[in-house]
Amino acid sequence: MEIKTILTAICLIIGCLFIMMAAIGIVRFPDFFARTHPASKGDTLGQAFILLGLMIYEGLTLITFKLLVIVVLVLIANPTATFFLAKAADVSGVRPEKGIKEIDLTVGEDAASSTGKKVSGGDSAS
Amino acid sequence: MFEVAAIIVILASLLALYRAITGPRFFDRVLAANVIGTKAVVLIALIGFIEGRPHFLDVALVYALINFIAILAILRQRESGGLG
Repeated sequence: MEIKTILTAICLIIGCLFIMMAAIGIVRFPDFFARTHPASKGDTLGQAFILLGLMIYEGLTLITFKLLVIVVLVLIANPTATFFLAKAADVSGVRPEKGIKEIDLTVGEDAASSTGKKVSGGDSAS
Repeated sequence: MFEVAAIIVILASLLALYRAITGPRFFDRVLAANVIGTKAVVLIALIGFIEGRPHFLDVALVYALINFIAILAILRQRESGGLG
């Protein structure tokens, strides 16, 4: 077996792994803003790896250049489209789920404001 | 080798189709449509290599461009009520 075929198979396996993980994440994540992460990053990297495997299999021809153009185009366009989607959802009033928002924002602010007083009091006492 | 990769891509796009059908909001469906479009580009390239006719790559390139423009057009239609 040639070394070219082995490299192609490795790239295809990595790409299929990323694409399946992205699809499972899209099905299982609880929130719209959580679902944008596998849709933008995992999917883009998976298709880049699969098309890189095809480029290694083909060699150095015009087809390789076309595949490179497709890879660069999707690497630019897919995260941009997902960013516009998240921005449009934010403008039209979609908010994250309640549990995620409480963990990130309110608990952090309350903890910082309340522990600031306690820490200053503890410093003066010690 | 290419056939197995094509089958895995089809299975992933079926999972994204489940999200597009049962998505609770409009934006979930558009997100799933974007993912299916990206997987279709990969699938067209793989089918071109399976059949031994790599000229399908022109179709894949045009499909990637149309996918990006379609997502932007759908969002603009949703936001401002028109394409102008």
